[in-house]
Amino acid sequence: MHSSSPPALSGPLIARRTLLVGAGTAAALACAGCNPFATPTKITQTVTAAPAPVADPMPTLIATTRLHLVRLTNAIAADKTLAVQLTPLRNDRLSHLTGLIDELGRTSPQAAAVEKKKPNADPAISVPTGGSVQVVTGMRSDAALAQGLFTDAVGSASRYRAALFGSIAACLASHRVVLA
Amino acid sequence: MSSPTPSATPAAPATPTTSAPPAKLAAAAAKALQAALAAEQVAVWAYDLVAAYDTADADTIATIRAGHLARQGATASLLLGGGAAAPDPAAAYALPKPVTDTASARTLTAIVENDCAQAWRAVIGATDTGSLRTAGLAGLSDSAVWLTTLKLAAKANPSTVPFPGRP
Repeated sequence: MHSSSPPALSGPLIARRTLLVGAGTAAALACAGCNPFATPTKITQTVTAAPAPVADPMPTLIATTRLHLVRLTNAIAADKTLAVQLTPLRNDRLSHLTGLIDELGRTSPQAAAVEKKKPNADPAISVPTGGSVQVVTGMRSDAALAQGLFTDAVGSASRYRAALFGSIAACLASHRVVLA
Repeated sequence: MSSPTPSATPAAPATPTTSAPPAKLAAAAAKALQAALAAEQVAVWAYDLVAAYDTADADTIATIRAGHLARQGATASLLLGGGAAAPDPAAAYALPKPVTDTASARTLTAIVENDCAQAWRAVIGATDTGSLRTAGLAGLSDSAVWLTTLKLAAKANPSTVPFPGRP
């Protein structure tokens, strides 16, 4: 009598489909940056640094105003033909410096006293050379820079100071018209 | 009196903004903005009169009047958006001095711009809200620039003031 037992299995121990699935998974993990064979590494922690404390803009505004005042003075000395145009602007900047130091004195009398003692003249500070056009261009850049500083200071200042800074920023806008 | 040379390039007004108005205007801010609105309304009316007497600066005056008109609208929107009243302009206003010629017309423009500058500076000092301070600074700067533009056209010296808007 003929036996009808099933044929013996003679294929590989792991099916081809299983092997392909495993290799594909390993490749996908590798592409994603995961290494299943790696040892555990340190955990990265994101720490958000605290923002720098808000500083009083007054020292910067006073120093910038004094610098631009000196540059206007030196520009007038270097090119007499610009005196009519630049002298009124220099006078405005001197008024700004005085007003800022007075305002500083309301809250910091000692700091204001130090600022009052600083000189408003320094021949060593250079002005643009090459002619009147270059000098005027340099002064216009100074006015634009200062206008930006005072405009930025309006937002976070006290109400009185905001009005003062805004007024100076508006004056500097008009200076740019004169120097255009 | 000879007519001055018109300025080559009238100062373009900044585009008034009404972005990010506060939900409800504080009383002090609303009052300051209403004063600024009134000053802008006077300015628009006054420049119509000035244009009739200062024909040499016609382009400059037209540009400045348009700037005041735009700011008037933006200020009214700020007030209404903040729940405050925005009164309509009057049909006419009393003048501090009669306007009869170019010189008196220029005097009126100086008065108008100083009044606007004072009003906008008061807005800055009446609020802690950043968007309102920005609006105030824009109005203050425009008035300072326009005053200087007109003074330059009239060959006046000095053509600037150190603290625009300071009473």
